[in-house]
Amino acid sequence: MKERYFFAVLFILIIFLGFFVKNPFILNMLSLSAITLIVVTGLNLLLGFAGQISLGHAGFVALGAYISAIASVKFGVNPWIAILIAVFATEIFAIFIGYPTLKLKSHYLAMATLAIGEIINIVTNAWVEATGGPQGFVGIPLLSVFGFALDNEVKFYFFIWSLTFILIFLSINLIDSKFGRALKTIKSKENAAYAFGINVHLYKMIVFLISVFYAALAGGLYAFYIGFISPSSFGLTESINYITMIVVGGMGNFVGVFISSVILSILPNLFASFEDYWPIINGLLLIFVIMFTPNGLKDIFKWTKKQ
Amino acid sequence: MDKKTIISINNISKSFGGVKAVDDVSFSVKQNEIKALIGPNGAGKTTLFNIITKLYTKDSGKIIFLDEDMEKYKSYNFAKMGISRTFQNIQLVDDLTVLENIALGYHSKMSVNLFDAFIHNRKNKRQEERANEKSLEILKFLKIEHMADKYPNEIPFGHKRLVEISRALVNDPVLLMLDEPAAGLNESETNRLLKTIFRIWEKGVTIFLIEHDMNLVMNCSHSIVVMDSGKKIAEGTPSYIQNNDNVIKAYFGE
Repeated sequence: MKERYFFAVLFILIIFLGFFVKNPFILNMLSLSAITLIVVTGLNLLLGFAGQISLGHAGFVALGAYISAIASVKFGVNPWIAILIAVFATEIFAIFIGYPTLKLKSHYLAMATLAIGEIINIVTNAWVEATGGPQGFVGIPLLSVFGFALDNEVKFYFFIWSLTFILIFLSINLIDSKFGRALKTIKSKENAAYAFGINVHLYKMIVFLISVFYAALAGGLYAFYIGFISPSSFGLTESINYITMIVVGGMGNFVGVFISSVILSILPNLFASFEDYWPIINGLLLIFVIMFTPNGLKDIFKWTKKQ
Repeated sequence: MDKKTIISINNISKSFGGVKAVDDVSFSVKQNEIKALIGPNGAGKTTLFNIITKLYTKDSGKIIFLDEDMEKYKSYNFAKMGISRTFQNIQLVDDLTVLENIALGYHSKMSVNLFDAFIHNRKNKRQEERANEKSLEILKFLKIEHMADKYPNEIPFGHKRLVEISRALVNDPVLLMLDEPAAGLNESETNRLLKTIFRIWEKGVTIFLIEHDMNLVMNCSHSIVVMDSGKKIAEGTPSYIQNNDNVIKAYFGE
């Protein structure tokens, strides 16, 4: 696959960038976009390849973030163990949510996940004793890797981008296997999937849980990097942002989604004064893309196997 | 002369609301036989086909495949047991190349788990190569190997049918079920299809097909079942069916 070469080159470029850029503001911005990219890569497996829409993915990111934060601050658990617990707990939650909702078709699935995302958001707002409520959760410690504390922007930048690329390569591998073929079949020809031995509901569950894994992991990393989390970072707007990034990049296209995620997560930071208008810009972009280039950036960057 | 029964359909019934789409139909398909199911529009052929492959649930009746009651199996177990099918309205996946579409048919023979796929280990690589080899082999058998790297929307309709048949053949099925394989094909494509069906049959695959095209059915099948308004009205050899009063009535009226 040509995608692998593209990402290999990109990885080298991004590592180089880390050595040259000294401005902590820019590094911070790029690290945050890497965290977003982890969520979007996972969601792309679910939405882009398997065609199952989730409007509540920010909720799973929130669960990852809050459970990690609570475990480490209130129970004194090591940050890595805390993330592990958070991912595990979020997965258990996702199994209960996913089992019934993935039997639903199209719009119903979107509505169910929308509701779940909102419920998580309401709980994080209202359960002040555990989450700090709308004021947010403060005092989350820093991560360290093999004894090195990731205590500045540069170190975290290298760490998070390496992890992001590992996760991207793993998803490319997954799609480039019998599972990828199965997911693409589920997306457009469910009857054919059954006829060729694919347990459709099980595969939907698997890909849903993988995408939740990516989301919860990103949530945990976000909490330990920023040190502060509040419900407003994980609302419906954020869930829609993730979907916009996928639609603009081209559903089921790793390269396009990478580019759109990085650009769309950096822009709001660059133009912070436009923050209030950002949902409008995002919405217009979504409408524009759906109307004029339904395949998103994929139409421009068409990466087929053999050209 | 007594051949093994591959699949037997016993007293199958199915109603949609008050309409009996399939009404107490029974017949069986013997080993290495080409069996056709024909009937006018709305006779319940496709419904029966979908009941056999469990896309629909039946109201009553029993299906036995190789001495096993199919009741306890789900539709996605059938591929592994040796039942393959094609679809009347082509069900090729647009996001996959022709070769990948065919490799999809090999899915049930691949034992890689998620972990193998995630890290692309040797087991995954070996099975992917095997799937590719098998798919190419089938493409060559059907003489459409030049289409391998194209996407389904880039190839002519007649070839899509052949790709669907290839996909159904790649896991060496015992029983191949073809749902109106000649629908939408022109005369030369139909002739090619006829030859293809014979070549598949020569390999020892038992074939069960639904068809509208009388010519094709009369030329290729050993045995024909005729349905009308959900009921089986006749079963026998092509020459018997051609001269059967019930069949003539069903097709041409009184």
